[in-house]
Amino acid sequence: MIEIRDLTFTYPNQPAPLFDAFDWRVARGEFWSVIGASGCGKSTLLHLIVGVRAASAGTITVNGESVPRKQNRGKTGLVLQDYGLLPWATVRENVKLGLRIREFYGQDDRRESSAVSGQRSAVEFWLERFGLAALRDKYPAQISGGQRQRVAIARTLVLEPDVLLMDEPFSALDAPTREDLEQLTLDLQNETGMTTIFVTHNIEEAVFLGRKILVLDAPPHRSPLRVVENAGAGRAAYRDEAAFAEKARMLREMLKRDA
Amino acid sequence: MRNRDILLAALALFIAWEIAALILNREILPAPTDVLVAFVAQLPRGLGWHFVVSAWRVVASIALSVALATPAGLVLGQYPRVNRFFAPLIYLTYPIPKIVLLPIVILFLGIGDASKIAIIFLILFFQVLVVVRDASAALRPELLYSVESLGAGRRALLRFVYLPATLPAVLTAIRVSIGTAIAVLFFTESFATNAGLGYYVIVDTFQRIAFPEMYAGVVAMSVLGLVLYFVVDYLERILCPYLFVK
Repeated sequence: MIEIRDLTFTYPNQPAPLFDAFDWRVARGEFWSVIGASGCGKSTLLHLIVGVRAASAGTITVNGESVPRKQNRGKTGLVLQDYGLLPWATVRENVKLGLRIREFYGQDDRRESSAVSGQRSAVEFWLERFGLAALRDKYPAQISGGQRQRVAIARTLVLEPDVLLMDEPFSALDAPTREDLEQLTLDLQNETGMTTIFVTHNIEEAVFLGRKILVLDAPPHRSPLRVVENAGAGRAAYRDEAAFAEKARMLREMLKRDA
Repeated sequence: MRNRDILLAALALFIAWEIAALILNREILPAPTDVLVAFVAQLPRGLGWHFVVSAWRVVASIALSVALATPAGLVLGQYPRVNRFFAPLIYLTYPIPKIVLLPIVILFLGIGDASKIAIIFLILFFQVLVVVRDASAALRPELLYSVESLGAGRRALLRFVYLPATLPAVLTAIRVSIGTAIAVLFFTESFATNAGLGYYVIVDTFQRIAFPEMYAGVVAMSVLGLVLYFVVDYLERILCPYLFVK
């Protein structure tokens, strides 16, 4: 599904590469957490998969197409910590943005723009699914952080992406909102089976969400990768189980050794 | 600030002027009531025409400068390399009072509308250029990445991000430049021409010692500035409603 082979990436003006002969394979429908210290290159990895940054060497393919995917606009969803919403557009306009971009390029795909469930358009469907219907005419500055992140997620889902990449999406939110959105993310993944990569520096979040956890230490990152299997994730009750605490403790030890 | 407050402020100015005219009691300061009468009387007899000529010159300059400076500013803001090349040139020419170039502009473009529009254009062009450049360069890369991830290429980014992001800056640049633009227009119309409010005030009425008419011209010039100011405010409300929500 996502296949990274021999990836090398170095930031301009940096002596050492961030990724050096890096291989990673994410199968269809998997939910991965990626954890590591700040500045270790977690976000860069997502940027490379979306194709907003270019690798110096190696190949990245998503669904068999090499990145950046020219003909497949908006099929890799990206959700960021600071939402990335347009401040001058209402909630509804923000959710509709991806469709408007498709129209702009004359790629008005009937399947996408007409109906996801019944006669309701995809935009209306996700607005309602995320409890945003009453806020549709508000601007991002008028709603809470949790609501903004819902808008950002809805905006990517409207395009029916086959991959969802989330870059510390809930880091700026308070604990109840955060757990609320973590649960929403789980539900979505269970419903759609969408391949999901969730980057975080929060150990509990990584363990709660990812059925596999990629642990990144100091760069350069190269194979073999450190992967923690976490088959218990994916259920709301997992947070309260002993296995959850055990996994979190294990991950904490690994990260402490790195530091 | 409500419309009623603005109306009250105008009324207060009117009354202060009326009192000043009463106290001074000289013909070099006619009462506003007399000026108003002259204003209404002169409108169909030339004043209105001069107003239209001046308005056309300012509006044409604004339109021209926005039309040319916006794309130039967007290019400079998006390509740091191009900006690095031009930045010293802009830095050097930005603070030059463009009005001193007037004789040169007149030599090249003559004394007609073209030279007047060109000199105001020069003033506004740099204002708009710099704010558009800075506003587009200040866009956070995260915002651009997330819109790119929705499928936007360069053209869509321009349409859905860069243009709306720089619009408030353009309107602000116009608003702060209107005063200078009209001052410069007044100066350029005060010689070697026979149309425009500057001509009406300095050449026509001032030299005829027709004081109420001259004051009517001054009022017309002020009204021109105010109207343009209101139009920009109105455009901002229509085009950037998100700036006004609470």
